[in-house]
Amino acid sequence: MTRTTVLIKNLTRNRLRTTLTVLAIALPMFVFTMARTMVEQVHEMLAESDLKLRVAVHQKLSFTSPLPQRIREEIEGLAPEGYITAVCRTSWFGGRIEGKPAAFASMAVDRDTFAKVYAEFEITPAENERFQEERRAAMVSPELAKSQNWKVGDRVTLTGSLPPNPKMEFVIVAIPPKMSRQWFYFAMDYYDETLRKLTGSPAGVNNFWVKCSSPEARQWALTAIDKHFASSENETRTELESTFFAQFMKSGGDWVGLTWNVGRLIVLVAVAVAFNTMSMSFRERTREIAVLRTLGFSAGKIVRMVLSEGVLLGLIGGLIAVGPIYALTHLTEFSIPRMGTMQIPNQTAAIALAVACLCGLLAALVPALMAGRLKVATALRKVV
Amino acid sequence: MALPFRYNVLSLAARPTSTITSTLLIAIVIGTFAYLQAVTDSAFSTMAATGDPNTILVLSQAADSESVSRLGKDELNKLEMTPGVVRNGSGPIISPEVVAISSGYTKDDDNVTVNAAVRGVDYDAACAVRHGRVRILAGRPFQPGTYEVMVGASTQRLFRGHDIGDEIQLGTRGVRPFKVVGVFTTDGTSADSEIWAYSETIRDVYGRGSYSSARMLVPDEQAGRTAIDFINGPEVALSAKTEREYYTTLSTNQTVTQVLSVIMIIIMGTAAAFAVANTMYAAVAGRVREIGMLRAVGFGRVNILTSFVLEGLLLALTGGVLGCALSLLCDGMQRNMLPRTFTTVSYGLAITPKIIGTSLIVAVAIGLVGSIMPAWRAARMSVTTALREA
Repeated sequence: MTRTTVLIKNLTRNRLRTTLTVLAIALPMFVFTMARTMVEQVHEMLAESDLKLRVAVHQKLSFTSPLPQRIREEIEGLAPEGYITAVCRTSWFGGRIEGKPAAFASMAVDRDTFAKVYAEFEITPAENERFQEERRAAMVSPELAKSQNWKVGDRVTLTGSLPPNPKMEFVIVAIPPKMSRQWFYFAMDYYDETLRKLTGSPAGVNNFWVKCSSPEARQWALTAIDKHFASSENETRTELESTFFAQFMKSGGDWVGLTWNVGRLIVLVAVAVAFNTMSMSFRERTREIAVLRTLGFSAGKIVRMVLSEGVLLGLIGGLIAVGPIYALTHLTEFSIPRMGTMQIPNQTAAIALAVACLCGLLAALVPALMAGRLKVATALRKVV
Repeated sequence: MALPFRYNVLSLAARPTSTITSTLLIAIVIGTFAYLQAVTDSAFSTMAATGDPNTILVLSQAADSESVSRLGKDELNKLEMTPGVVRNGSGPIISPEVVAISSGYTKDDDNVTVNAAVRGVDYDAACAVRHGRVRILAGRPFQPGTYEVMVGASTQRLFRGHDIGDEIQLGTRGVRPFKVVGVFTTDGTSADSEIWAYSETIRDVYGRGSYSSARMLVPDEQAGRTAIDFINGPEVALSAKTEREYYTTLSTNQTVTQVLSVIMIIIMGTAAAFAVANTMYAAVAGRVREIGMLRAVGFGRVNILTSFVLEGLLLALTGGVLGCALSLLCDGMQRNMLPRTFTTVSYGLAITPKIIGTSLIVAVAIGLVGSIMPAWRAARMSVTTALREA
């Protein structure tokens, strides 16, 4: 009989207990995996957004206080030759469908530079052309189009959630597959024209997204733009895209961080479950271990045996926790509401498995040491 | 005759390792659950507490929050005629207010800015429509017509450089320094996360020709209905709600945590129930002869079943109580939320009796689910086999 066989025999001795234990390890490890994936996704999103070399320029105190549109030309004129690829202005519209209370993420953007500044949406030249030609053109993300049952060519009417709450008609000209989340973009000039008609004043701009050509150019943008507008009546703050998005997470109570904290905490549950099982089975096997010792198994061997049993328990639990969801997210388009498509990263899967094994190891530590220090004579005499 | 409860207590004490492990495990699960509940519930109750059922909040039509509402002087004048509202000598008690946004760095993080609501008010009117809930904690109220502000207690706690004597920057066209002269509290409502200054000064530095909202007092619900109907009607054509209704609808986002905490408790509760089952199965297996003996001296199957279930419940409930005790550690902890207004509201976590109650019920459920099968196995045993077992 090899050691592996002994290990498996021991685990299958009380199948019910092993099953319950493995599942009780798998459940918290599943939460751990999901939480870690969410954190990874957010970090990746922030890191990726910095790779896009975009900075946000907005009013010094808050992006909610709009700046005049002409700032775009000033920024463009300010930059040394070749530093800025394009500048896209955005104005929050917060459109609502008649009769539905929830506003969704809709924004007016510059027609001419939108595709260039948001290169990651991979808007095709044909789509972009339609966006230029149709005055009321709108581009929507596939997720939003699906939830509202919209197709290219549909006309939709939305009411803005900022005063004077204009009611505007749009024509959907493209649903670019790479456009993320629930976004709805339309042309700034159309918005501006509508507002001028209604109130006589132009549309204000929340953010000027400046696409830089290199990291050096971005470094320049981060300081030079604010310096230029300092002590003018339109003072600005320029920040990295990741910093801009981080504020929403921070002030929103940081749900991702909360989930991650809970995810880490409940690893303790896995440890406790495994410890409970290991100490119970050790106690039941005290005499058996004493017999093994009398047969000449060294203390070290016994310790290793108990430890491997714990690790194996953890590993099986980990595999059950990670395996199915890993396969599911890698073989199909798996998406959860509000988080978008999700895929368990290889690294996260590996970490979760390692943590599960570690749980098993930790849980087996005390029983293993007790087994190693067993006084053979007393143990043999002991009645369980 | 039922088995004495003492028997269960002693049985648990006889297997200390397994009992303590299971108890701690349940404590972690229940403690986390209580914490998650507090995160959701306290956010909601902060918003609900902010809203007074006897205060009417008037916004422009189609505005869903104060931050996007605009009320002109003419519209405010129309409100003078509102029936049912509390009046003094010169007309209804009314507080026109203007809401803008400021931002600043938090005390613990140097890179990320957080938004705060700036409220421009007439101090006396604002206090009057808030039923005297505004209390000055330190310093004094701002003087009308000066660049002075008072900050809410949560704002002072969250933001760097918002203490008395500090200068903060407000405004859009040309940012201006304002001096912090006082700290106030409204007893845990969302106004504690605001910055208050004189309304005309705020309108000036934020370039606002209009106000955001108006608040009026009503003596009771009946009068409130009348006033709301009048304001929503064709004569005034604005949008009125009770303040409570307004703030309750503002606290979005909470469904996320609610769903989150339910999923968590199902997953973790199941894991805990499995652990209880393991412990109880081991307890049954270790006591086979004892059970045979008990049956032989006349205890029925139901007695055995009840006894083991009770033992599981006792285990789970001990863990539950410990978990609730642990969760009390996070009572009063501060968290932030972001209602639809884009401005941060801080709130303190409160472990309420309701949360303790729900948590203990969940603990009982874990104990019940975990012990019913082992108890059933114990009860089913035949006397002779059990007694013969080594």
